[in-house]
Amino acid sequence: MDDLLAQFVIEAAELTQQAAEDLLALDCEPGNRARLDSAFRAIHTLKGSVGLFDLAPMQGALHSAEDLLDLAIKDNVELDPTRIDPILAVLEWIDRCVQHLQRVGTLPPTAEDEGAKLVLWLASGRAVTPAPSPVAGGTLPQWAAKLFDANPAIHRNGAVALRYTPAPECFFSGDDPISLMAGVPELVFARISTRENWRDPAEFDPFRSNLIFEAISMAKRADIEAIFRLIPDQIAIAHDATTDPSELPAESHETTTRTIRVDLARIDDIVGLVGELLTAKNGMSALVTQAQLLDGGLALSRNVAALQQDIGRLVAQLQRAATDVRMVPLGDTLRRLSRLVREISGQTGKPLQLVVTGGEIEADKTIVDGLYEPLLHIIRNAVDHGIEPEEQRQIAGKPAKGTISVSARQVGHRIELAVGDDGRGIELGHIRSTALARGLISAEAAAALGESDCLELLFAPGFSTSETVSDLSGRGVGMDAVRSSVRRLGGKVTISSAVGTGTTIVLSLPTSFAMSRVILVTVAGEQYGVPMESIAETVRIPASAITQVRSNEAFALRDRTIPILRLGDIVGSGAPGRSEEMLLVLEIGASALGLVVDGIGERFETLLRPPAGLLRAVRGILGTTVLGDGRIIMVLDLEALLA
Amino acid sequence: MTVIVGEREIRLTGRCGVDEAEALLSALSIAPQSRVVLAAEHVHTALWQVLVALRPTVIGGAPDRFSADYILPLIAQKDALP
Repeated sequence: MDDLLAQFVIEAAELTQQAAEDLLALDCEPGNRARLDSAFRAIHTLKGSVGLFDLAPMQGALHSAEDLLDLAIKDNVELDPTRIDPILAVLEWIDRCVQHLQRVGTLPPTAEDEGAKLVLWLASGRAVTPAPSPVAGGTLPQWAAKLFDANPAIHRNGAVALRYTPAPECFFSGDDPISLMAGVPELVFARISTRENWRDPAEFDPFRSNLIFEAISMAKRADIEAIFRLIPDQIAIAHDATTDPSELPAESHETTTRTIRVDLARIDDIVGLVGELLTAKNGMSALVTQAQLLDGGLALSRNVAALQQDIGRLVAQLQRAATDVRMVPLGDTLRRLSRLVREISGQTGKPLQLVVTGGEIEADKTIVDGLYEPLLHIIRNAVDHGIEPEEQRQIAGKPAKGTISVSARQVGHRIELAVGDDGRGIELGHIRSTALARGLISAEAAAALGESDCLELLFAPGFSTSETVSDLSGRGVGMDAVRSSVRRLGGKVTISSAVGTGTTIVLSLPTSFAMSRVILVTVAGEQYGVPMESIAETVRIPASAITQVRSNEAFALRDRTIPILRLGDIVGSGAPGRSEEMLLVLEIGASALGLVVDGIGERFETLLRPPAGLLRAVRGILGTTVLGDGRIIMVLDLEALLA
Repeated sequence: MTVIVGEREIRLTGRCGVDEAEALLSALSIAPQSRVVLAAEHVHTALWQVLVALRPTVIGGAPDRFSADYILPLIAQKDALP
């Protein structure tokens, strides 16, 4: 089943549930406005989602139901109680249609007819006989009816008919149909037929499946569905719903339990516990050393070390499993962009098209959710500053429709999200003069700027190249906001542009917050963690190699002059210089920077917890982590500290 | 090998996987009069199919209820399948 449809199945079940609850509440308390509004919203949303697929009968019935509710809301009157039943019947019917959709991929063949009857019932307030005929929507397919007819002794009530037609090539996919059939519980009848007549032994292909199974079981439908869940295209399951109405709600419940929605906080609790487990495991390193020091403790220390390794492997697996739960496809966010682009196109009068690729790539939910905001700014910027008005595009020989492309790809453990436009590109001279005008740089610095440094200026706080503040991007959010929100997600932003052909902004993000490699640094007796990914290298240089450049310091590393900052000064505990200095060389954006620290300690892997409580307000802290000995260490967000 | 071809009988033993179907088919094609002795803990559908299509005399027990109740009768059945 495609992603969108799978999402829809989950959503539809929730919305029908919500609407039904509201309607039942209205039945007891007809004047409850909030319930009426809520029911309307649920049905309205459902109708919107149904519109994404080709499901006209469902759309029609929902539309009529929505109209009824809308009328009551607009006229500020109570919902006519005689209309509650038909709306409930619509919801019940929608549930059944969705289940059918989920299993078979299409609406039941009777859907159109049933939908029409429901619309009539909604309009007239009178059920079209036979009564709520849609409830009889469970009318058995022909094969199942025949199967039951052939076995009159079997009580239809509660019996489930199944027809399993293994694909001819199914052996190659590892299927063993008879084994599957043998696993069907409470089988009361089965018959086997063939797709085609058996061939001569000489022509007989033993690797093609030729059997068709039909059976009746008294087991629960969900149990049978579970057996065949991997081959939904080869199985048909039916049971006589008319004779067993009480089974219906249970069934609708069971078919949706294959996915559950869990409060993110609960999953985070698990991820948090895994992090602590990791810390506890790291603590065993001390045990290994202790054991080594014991008399004859070598064997013991070796055993502890081996055990630690085992636990480490298990924790890593557990951690992967826990982070996997949080993985969602990027498409969840990217899909929202098309609406945004349509909206912007309407506002600016620039015809636009959005091309999205790579929506199937998965990343942590926080990252996927957090992407919307920066993408929104980037796209707004692109349309505002990049895409030319239609007539200019025509002069430039470009298609009238501007194209915004968003393409995601997986690069190792990171995702790269490139947002490109085919607009006018960015004039470096324009950036220089604007930066100069805004007092961001000096005239000689502006002249000396290379291309990438120049584009970097776009990310400087307070930079905006638009002369007129527009409705779109002129809301005080520049590229600096984009960079900082991407950085919060552990990502980086780079930009490239070609005058006349367009601009591309690339976001590089982790797929999950899984593990961060952190190195401990000491400054003025305090220990801090620094993420390894921002460190290009560590060097030890004599103090004499540091030269004073006005009030700043710098040193030369392989013919490159690198400015120096002292971490002690930044965290507010400056220390006198030493004869030999330890430096972390950081690559930030396109520039490098040396950071003086007192010492470098161990490196370890950790699950970074985002700062909570008071720390959340402190700039420059990426998160906290617990060391093996239980000490809590702050991990610094160097890029934010140095910005 | 879980399909053991003897002089007058073919024995299915152990877990007969899909790749043994060809061996069973060729053994039965060469000697259609052979008896097939079921002594396996698992028989893949591909092998059952060969038995259903060629209908040799089968003795021994089926490895599970379903094949005992529904497949063996199919092999024993002398008239054509429905």
